[in-house]
Amino acid sequence: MEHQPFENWILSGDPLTPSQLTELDNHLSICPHCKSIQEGLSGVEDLIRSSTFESPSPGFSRRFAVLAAQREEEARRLQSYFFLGWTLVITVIVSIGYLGTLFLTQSPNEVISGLMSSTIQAAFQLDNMLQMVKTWMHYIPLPITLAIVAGSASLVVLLTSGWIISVWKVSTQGVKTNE
Amino acid sequence: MITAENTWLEQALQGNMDAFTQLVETYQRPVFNLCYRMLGDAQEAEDAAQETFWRAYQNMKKYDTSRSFATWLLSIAAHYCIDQQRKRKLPMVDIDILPEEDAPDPSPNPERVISKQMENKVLHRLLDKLQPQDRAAIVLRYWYEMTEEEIASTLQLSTSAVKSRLFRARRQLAEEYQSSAPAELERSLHGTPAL
Repeated sequence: MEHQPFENWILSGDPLTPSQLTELDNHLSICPHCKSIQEGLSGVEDLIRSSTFESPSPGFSRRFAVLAAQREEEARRLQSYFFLGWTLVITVIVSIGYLGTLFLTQSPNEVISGLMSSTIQAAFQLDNMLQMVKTWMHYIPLPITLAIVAGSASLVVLLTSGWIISVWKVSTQGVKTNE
Repeated sequence: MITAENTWLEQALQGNMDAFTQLVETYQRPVFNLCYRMLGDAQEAEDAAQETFWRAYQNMKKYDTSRSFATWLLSIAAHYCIDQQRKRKLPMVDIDILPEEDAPDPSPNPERVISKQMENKVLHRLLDKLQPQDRAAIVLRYWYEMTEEEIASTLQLSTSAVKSRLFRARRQLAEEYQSSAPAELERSLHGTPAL
């Protein structure tokens, strides 16, 4: 038995004209195959109609806010690890590059003697600076000397604190972008 | 017209989480229902709905304001659920973990409650037989009364592809229903010793 166009009419979901409906009814009365499809689809549509529109359990948006906060925190932490990790990698690469160049262009003896002479020179420079400071202290009044020392110490403390705060911010809040 | 929802949407587009949470409150039900009908499990539907909102929040800048926000959310949810279904074959839903009915019967009748649960179980078993995209098309067509064009836009398919998916899914559902569902429903009602 020919099942077209009746199967299409049943399954397409398109509205049928009155004459098509009559034709379909006539066909269904003699075709068990199409009748079974039509009944099956009606049964499923009845089940769907009688089903409810499900809701989540109460507090869904609160749970979402908690999840979002956790994911944002996670993303910030990952970003900071990424930033600090790359900083470390770049520092290591630059250091290795510098030391590599040093050892490739000079013999180890030259490098060691160079380091020692630089250290000795630095010690001499420090000693010279201390001598200069002692000489200045003879000419500059004590309050001004104290003010200079206090100012220098404050500057060192400020710069160190700024650096520590920056590292802390990066590790807890990530790197801020303009996105 | 400026509505509270439009204001939340505008603020959420600027990254305001509180405004976005208001949108979550507004759209939680349609998103959850879609996930539930797609996955057949309340806990998985909750996770999928939460993931949908998180993805939406992260991609707010990609949201086209000329489009309906609800449709955009449903599109994200449908794609996520289709991916989840493709990743694994889901087990049949357990009637013990079905979510509470949205509008509970004011005079709870144990027979009616069990009958509803069994109908739900049969429905999920039938939907489970469908391919993920066919299932999404059926859910959007019947629960959300979307037109074929709207389904096509939501699932990013052509209208003719949606038509053929709906046609194929309807045939499969009808055949599956005829082969087992009536007997199953009958058995559940008359075969329960407590009734």
